[in-house]
Amino acid sequence: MENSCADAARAEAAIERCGATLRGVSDTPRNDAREPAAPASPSPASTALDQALRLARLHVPEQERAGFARDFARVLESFAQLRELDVSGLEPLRSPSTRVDSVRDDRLQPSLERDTLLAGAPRAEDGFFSVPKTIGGER
Amino acid sequence: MSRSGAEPFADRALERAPERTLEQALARVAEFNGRLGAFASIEAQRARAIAAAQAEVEASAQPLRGLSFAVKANLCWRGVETNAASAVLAGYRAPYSATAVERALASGATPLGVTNMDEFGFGSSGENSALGPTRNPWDLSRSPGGSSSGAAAAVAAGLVDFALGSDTGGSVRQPAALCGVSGFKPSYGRIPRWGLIAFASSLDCVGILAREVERIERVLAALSGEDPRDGTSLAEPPLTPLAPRSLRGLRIGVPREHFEAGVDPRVAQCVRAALAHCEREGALVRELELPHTRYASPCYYVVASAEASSNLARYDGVRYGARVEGDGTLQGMIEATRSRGLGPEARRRVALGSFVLSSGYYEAWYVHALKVRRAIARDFERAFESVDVLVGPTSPTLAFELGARTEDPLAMYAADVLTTPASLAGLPALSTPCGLVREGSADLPVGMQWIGPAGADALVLACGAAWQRASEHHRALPPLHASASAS
Repeated sequence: MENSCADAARAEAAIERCGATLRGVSDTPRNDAREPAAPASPSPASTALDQALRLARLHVPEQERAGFARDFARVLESFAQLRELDVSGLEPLRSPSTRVDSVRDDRLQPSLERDTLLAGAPRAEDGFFSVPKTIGGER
Repeated sequence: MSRSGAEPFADRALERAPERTLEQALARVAEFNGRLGAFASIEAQRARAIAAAQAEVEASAQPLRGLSFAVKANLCWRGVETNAASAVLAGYRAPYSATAVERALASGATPLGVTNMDEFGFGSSGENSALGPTRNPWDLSRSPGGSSSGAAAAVAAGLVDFALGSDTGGSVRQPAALCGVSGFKPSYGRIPRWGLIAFASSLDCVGILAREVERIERVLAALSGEDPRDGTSLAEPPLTPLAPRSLRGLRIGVPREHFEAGVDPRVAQCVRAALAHCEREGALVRELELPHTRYASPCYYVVASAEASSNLARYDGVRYGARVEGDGTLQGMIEATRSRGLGPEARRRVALGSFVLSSGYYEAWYVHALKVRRAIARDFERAFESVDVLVGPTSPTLAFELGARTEDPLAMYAADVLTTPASLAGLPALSTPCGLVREGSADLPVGMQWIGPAGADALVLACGAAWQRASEHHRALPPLHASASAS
């Protein structure tokens, strides 16, 4: 258990480091000392991993966290080799699509029926998707 | 045995009457699937109804009449459970059919069922599936590759005449190579993506697997062509196959980097032997460099994870599939649904994608990777100034044992190292069988990859077809094959 905690701390420190290192990347590779130092022991409540999980709306149970953090850190570290490359003067290639304008005419056309779409939902009520109550306090 | 020159292809499967053979085909799928795990569902009743309706239509209006096929579990098929092998979409029945499925049906092909896959396309072994793994018909202890694992295994075992797959970073080509069949990823946009459950929208392509490349040509002719419902589909008519050609005079470039570290020497040797064969057939083969190849894998995993995190945000327990109530709040329900419904690799990709897109990291990770992607695309543009096609291995390794890579994401990602470059550049790429390697008691297939310039799908397929007319490797059948079945 102690080992697993130590592993988790190491992995999360690596994630912080990767984040901090890559934050320094712009169009040219950097070999200077401008990278912010990685926190020695990141607080479990505020790590970069927590931030990623929060944005992804995911929860990793405590018993799986060390393994998840370890793999996450290793993958991020493998991304860091992209830093070697001088990309100055290169435009980002967002898509290989050669189409520049594919907006269709603003005309009413047949679509799927509401009930057909609602049939795929886990819960529907009175022709709407149903979700837990979000306003008014009590459920 | 080999057919030479420009002899036209006679697809014997097309001569069969569908109503006569459908029951046999369904019986074989049922018989084999217990061992293979290639099909997520066998749609026997639906197949019978479709075949009966197709029989009412003039056969000459159905260019794929008589062919059976399978649909990967991430392509919507109306009324059929389309769950992308994810628990988060358990029970979801598609309310419409994907363009590729619609067009295959209209062309007279009969679907037998839905094939297994790595969840949402996240994987190269078929093991990241909520439905369990698929096995390789060449050796049941090994992976068929992925993510179109079931599609490749079903074609290799002779259960269907062709299969629809999807290829984001190699998911059609790599399993085709590991299963000893042909697999084609068209140019980006060639087959519309409408109805394909999105993984990474700038990379996703619907692909085709079959034993013979000439069958892929016929299927592509039926599936390609613009679809106004997909704004990224190529604004071109359906593709017409080129007239059969030979390899004589074809300028083949061999990327040096595609034979470097990480490629099993037995795979490299097999592909080099195939290239020597091409040379004897009159092809002009020369080595060249694609200097940014080693950045393709990390570049791909940044871009694909970023796009996946955005595309998978829709699985929130509200509109599709399954819901886990969690603590009863809306946020708690969403988090519980995603955390329980997405498998380990899907969770990792979504978290990685969220990380590289997050404030402070977006430029440094995501935009930087998109610039590397441009450099990789330029490598190809330069190469195609002096050669017609590029040829190298499809997969760096032979089919590996099930379970051998599941604990190590980087080992799994290494399986795509030779297929991601063409994906990033949106190029057409084909894997064809080029030999067998003995390992232990099994013969395992090796695939060679043909990459062409953007839009040159017909040329790539014509080259693959010419290779198959000049060779016999695609005729090798695995120990588990329907031709050995009593039915």
